[in-house]
Amino acid sequence: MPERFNLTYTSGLILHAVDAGLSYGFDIIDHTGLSSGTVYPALRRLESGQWIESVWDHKNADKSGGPPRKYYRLTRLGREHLAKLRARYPLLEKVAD
Amino acid sequence: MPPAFTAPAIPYTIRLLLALAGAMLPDSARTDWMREWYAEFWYSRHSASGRRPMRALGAFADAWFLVRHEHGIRGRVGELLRSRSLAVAVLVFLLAALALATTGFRRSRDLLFHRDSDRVFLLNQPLPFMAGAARISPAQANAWVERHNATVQVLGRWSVRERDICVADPVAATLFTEIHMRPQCTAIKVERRNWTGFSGVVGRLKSGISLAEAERELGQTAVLHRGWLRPAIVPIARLRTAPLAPVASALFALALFSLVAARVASVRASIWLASRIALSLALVAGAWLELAARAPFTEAGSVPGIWSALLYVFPIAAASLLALGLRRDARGRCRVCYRALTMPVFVGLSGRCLFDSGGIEYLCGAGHGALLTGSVPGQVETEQWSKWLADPPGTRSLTT
Repeated sequence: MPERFNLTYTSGLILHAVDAGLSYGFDIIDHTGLSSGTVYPALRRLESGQWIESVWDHKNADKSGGPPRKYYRLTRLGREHLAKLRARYPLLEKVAD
Repeated sequence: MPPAFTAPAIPYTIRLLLALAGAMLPDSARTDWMREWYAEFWYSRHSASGRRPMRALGAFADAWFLVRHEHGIRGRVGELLRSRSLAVAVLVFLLAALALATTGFRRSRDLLFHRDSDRVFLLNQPLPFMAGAARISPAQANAWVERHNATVQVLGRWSVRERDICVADPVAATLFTEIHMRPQCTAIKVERRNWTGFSGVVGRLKSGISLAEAERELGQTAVLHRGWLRPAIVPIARLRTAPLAPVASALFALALFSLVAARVASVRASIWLASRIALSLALVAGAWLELAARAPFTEAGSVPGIWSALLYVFPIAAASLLALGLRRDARGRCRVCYRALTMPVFVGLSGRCLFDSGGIEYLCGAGHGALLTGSVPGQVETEQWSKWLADPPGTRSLTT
């Protein structure tokens, strides 16, 4: 059963970033300006609530010669909640863009 | 099966921080977690944004979050702590460890049950736990000693003027060693000499003489009275054990409070509860004895003010917290067998306000009863929202 938690502004920022294609943890940190100590626990919480899901990116790793990187993407549930968050926080898109 | 983790090249400081944070995680979760953080730092190092070593600090928050929420460490610990027998076993272990690893028990026993502890005294020391100290001059001390040879045997005088405690009798030397005089003296010397400076008198009541008799005689020695100052005979044991009666009374009252407030409904539950209370408060008493044994004495033979406060405040505060904790814990336990109540389920209709309103029912695993609380899980902690049902309807089949 998905975990229930509050629709906070921080969750909105992170979901919005993921929706905008910023799918790696450090990219989300760069984009939102939040600290790593905030973003990563929030990502774990969102993932356990099935709002986002994580996938290991092996293709880009092979191209760049680096290690596989984990990226996050929105689930259907996450998209629904993001819509609610955008309604609740109208300035979310402006601030985050 | 995930591929084996080969650490990519990232700075050693970051590796160290990640290793420390990752140590919080169980083995099963650590590899994937490490892989993600290492990869982020590797790409960060090779990107335009450059190194961001401070981000490694976030790994601690991340690991802690995972430990608490994903791996249920807190839940498992809480579950173990709520076990009846384990809690008692842990308390017994702590008590044994305190008794074996510290010297407080032994010191306190030596002092409390020392054959001379209530007959050996310091003269002209104010009662402990009072501010200030009255001193006695050598002339006054001599006057008293000469006059009272019939009631007391003077073991000697003591001084700390030269960072040494000098006494005239080996018995007194032993006592001073036991009570840990302050300032920490370099030596406790036994010597016979003419005392010219400030000194206290240490003595022993003669056989058959009571403390009251010695005090009466002391009161008749006018030479010792200076204004409102009245020298007192203070048995050494009393210096250490002055808080014993009030503290023991407070602990006893708190134990009774815990026992009554828990509202258990059977002898079996009372025994479980009483054992917890007794062991918890014994632990506090043990810690207090250790504290009391370490309390230093000032030059005037009293206990320093901060230690006095500590000797009263620490045991009462600790025991009060324990009593409240036990009372709170007991609310979530079966009143018949003292097992932790489990299996919370929503019952009633949340839409109804007056009759059959919604709530959470916690059930005893052995079927002795259930606790009905408000609809918010935390309300189990508030008494006005909880109701004990000795024979809850519809639960018999679950437990038999």
